[in-house]
Amino acid sequence: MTQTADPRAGAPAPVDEIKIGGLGASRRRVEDNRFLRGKGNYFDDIVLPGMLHMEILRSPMAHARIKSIDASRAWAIPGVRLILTGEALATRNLGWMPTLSYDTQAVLATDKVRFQGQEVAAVIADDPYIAKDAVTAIQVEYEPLPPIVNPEQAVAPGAPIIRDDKLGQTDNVVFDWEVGDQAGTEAAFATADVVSRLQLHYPRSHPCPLEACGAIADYDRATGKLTAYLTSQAPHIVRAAVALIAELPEHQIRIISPDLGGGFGNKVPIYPGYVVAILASILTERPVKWVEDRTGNLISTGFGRDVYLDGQVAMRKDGKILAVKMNTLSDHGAFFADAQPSKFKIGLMHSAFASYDIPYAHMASRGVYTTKAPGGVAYRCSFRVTEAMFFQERMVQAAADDAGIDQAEFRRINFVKDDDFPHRTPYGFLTDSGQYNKCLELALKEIDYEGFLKEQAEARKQGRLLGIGISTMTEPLGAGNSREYDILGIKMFDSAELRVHMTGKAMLRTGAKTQGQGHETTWAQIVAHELGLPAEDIVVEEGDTDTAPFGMGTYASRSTPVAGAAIAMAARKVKAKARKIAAHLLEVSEEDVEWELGRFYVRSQPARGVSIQETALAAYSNMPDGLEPGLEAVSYYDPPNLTWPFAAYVCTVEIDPETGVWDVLRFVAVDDCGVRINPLIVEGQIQGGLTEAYAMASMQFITFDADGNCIGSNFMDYLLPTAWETPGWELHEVVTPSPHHPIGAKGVGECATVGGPAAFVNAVVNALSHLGVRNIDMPMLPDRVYEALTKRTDVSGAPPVKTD
Amino acid sequence: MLIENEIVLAQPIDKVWEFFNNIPQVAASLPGTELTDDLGDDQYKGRVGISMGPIRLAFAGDAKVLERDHTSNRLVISGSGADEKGRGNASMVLTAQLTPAPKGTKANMAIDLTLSGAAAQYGRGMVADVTAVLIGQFAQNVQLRIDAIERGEDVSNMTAKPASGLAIGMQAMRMAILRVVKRFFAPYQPTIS
Repeated sequence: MTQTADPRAGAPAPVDEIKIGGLGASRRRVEDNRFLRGKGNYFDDIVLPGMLHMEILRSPMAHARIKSIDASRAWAIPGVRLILTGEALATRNLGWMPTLSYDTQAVLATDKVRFQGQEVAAVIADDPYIAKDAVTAIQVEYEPLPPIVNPEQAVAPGAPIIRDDKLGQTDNVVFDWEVGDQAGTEAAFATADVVSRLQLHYPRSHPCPLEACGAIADYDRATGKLTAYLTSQAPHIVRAAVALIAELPEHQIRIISPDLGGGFGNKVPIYPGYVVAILASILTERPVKWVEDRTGNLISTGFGRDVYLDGQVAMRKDGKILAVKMNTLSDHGAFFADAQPSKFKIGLMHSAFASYDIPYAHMASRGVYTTKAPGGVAYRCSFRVTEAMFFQERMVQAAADDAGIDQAEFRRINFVKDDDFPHRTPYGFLTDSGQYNKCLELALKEIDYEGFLKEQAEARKQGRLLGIGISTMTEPLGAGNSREYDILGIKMFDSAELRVHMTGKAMLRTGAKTQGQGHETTWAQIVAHELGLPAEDIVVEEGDTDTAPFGMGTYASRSTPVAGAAIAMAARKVKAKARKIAAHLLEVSEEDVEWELGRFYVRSQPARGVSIQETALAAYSNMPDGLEPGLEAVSYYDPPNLTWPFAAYVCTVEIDPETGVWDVLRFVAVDDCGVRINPLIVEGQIQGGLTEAYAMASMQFITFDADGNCIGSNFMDYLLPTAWETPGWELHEVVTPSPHHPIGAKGVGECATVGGPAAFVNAVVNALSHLGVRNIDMPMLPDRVYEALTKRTDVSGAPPVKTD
Repeated sequence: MLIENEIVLAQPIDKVWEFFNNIPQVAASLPGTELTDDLGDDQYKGRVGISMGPIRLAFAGDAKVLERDHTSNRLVISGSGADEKGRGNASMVLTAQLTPAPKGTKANMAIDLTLSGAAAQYGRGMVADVTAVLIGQFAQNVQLRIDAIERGEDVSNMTAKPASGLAIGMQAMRMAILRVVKRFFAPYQPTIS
């Protein structure tokens, strides 16, 4: 018996990636240390010397002409330093500002107010109480105009023109946009055996971060520098916008986005409050703080959804989908201020049906102005992908019912197959990878699909209403490649800058901005995976435009797909340089240097090696001739494609026929978001996303009465689920790495919010399907469900809200 | 929002009509209301103060008699005003219809109310209850005044108590609770809108 010599003899034990907090480690969130101790640093914690306080006067009317504004009583209050109105701003060419969608938005209203809660005037005073009192002393005389609370009213003949400020705007239409193959779709519909049609409304919702928006603007006359602490998910975009709007030189603007108490898309747009605070600081030459209150946040800042669908599916008798038609009508409020890539007027709505193999599809989208708050933001979704997937899964369920095919089987028939990637979707996207059937089968097995169907049939005999709903989704995450994606002309790449210090500790800065996603934890893990540095040796900094490399910020689940990729690439640049230093230290040529996690060694002599930390020390103390000192790298990453995670959600519910109240019995979630960097954080994101999905399905919406009053302006009307009513989630995973992402990861932050709602609605509708009910608009409040089950009709939730 | 209420007064219909026809008398009976100016031609300026829970609103505005028909005993008044602190606007059309009743006169009051701003945002659901309480107080005040006039007393110093937030809140809450209790214990007739 011969014994071969251990090839690793004398070499140190390999680094355990999980132990150093690398890829796949369920590392505890490092930021929680300060959050749980109450040591977070939110903008409202920041107090600058001599700081003044600003309060905004908002319009009580939805649509009215401003006849006069009298601020004399407010000026008389001691402690009032400055009062700004639209007129004062207009003289400085700041009455209006551009939106992120090439429209204009009033900063402070000059001619008319166009939604309830619109900013009309601002008071800057010595303390916030004086400012609040002074705001109520401003007298505004309004001449009421008819409010418009839904698209139907907006396009009705004789409807008042909301945007009479815009030359050539003769109606309330914002855009008409279409995509897909209309002729091919019509031809396919002509040959169809079955056509299924569904009309519904995805209600307006609000991201409602627990921290509302706000800013501290600090203009220094002596240096000409403006420093602004703002609640922004994309500080660099704000810097660019401030440079354009306020006409300040960009190098003299520093935007700092400190710890954020949630964002969910709400903190992407530039709000009038920021602009007014900046102007107030320039005029008073003092720091000015503006803190939005809860009602201000809910009634005036970026909302989500508010889209009406008229969808049709053409099928063969055997259930194969031949073509899909989607007509959407979206309500954008008074200003078209959606935060989304310029090219796509209705966001990425056309990502619908990406996971189904469908030859033809056509979508016609119309957007309209109404007298409601502006700013359709991607509320935890990649630019209206939530609507796309909700519409898709609702249409698929209705189509399965109309074809008389089991809803799970119907999906199996139409899914894109595992070997059919990259797959061109009917609306023109290219999906990268996925194992759709595997995810669905796992979900069905976990919920015991066949068993539940039997139970459901038994229960129905006893008059009990059980339902099961399936929702599967894939969404384009990580906008995006520069060919197609830009905001205001700025391409949607992202960036990372990695500096490895002499002792092997490192600092990482990115152009993304965490709002609670745990970047400080996961980013360090990517570096740990690439370089073998322990994650705890890497500090992550984001949000300060003076120090962070230029990036497009965090929203649309783009951080890991884009900034995360930039981090991996920056780390690889650092590793390439470290390899040269290692060759120098090991006195071999670079070609003879091999890499294992955290260590370079001489090929075929594993015992002869240097650690990454040793190369870092040498980079500052013993570099080879001709090599620049230092060990750092910057990477700007332009993704070749978006990443396409997949999820299958299955939900079972029971409806109380006496009250219309429905309870979730079980909810099984199977998520495939590629390689999971930190499984703990991924699960947290999925649980949070499902909770928001449940909120939208069951209780949450911003609606309006016929007079244009916002219903949902406070936590009495706008409900957030607590742990008490939130059901338990059963999470499972499948891993299909992204083929084009450096570490195979895909976006995940939003999948559950995007795919979740349809599972609940499909389940409730499934429970009522034998009564002929095809749709109940979200939120499925008990009275709506009760109406559906007693009257055996669909229930629409479009505003104006019903009053009793 | 249409809010309908009915009150019964002990006086015969002509006496009640005489009272209702006198706008300053009516205003003086409305809690929290004062007429500040008589503009002539059936138009008035006035103020209405009301507390609803945490919000105290003071509306200043105009009222105008649109219709005054003694043959059908119908009175229609429109009013509109803005909160003095800019937190909302209100407009309403009040239709008072008097009919003879066994023990006097029945006054049916329909108020078509349009609210905007904070009142509409926070007060939803409370508005109908609060109005019902106010109208109840109004009926008491009317009764007191008519009785006093009957006795030949001077009513010029007799003003309606301002609408107290707490009292209205308590009564409105009582109504809301009663409604819930009724739902549980009274025979339930579903009202599906």
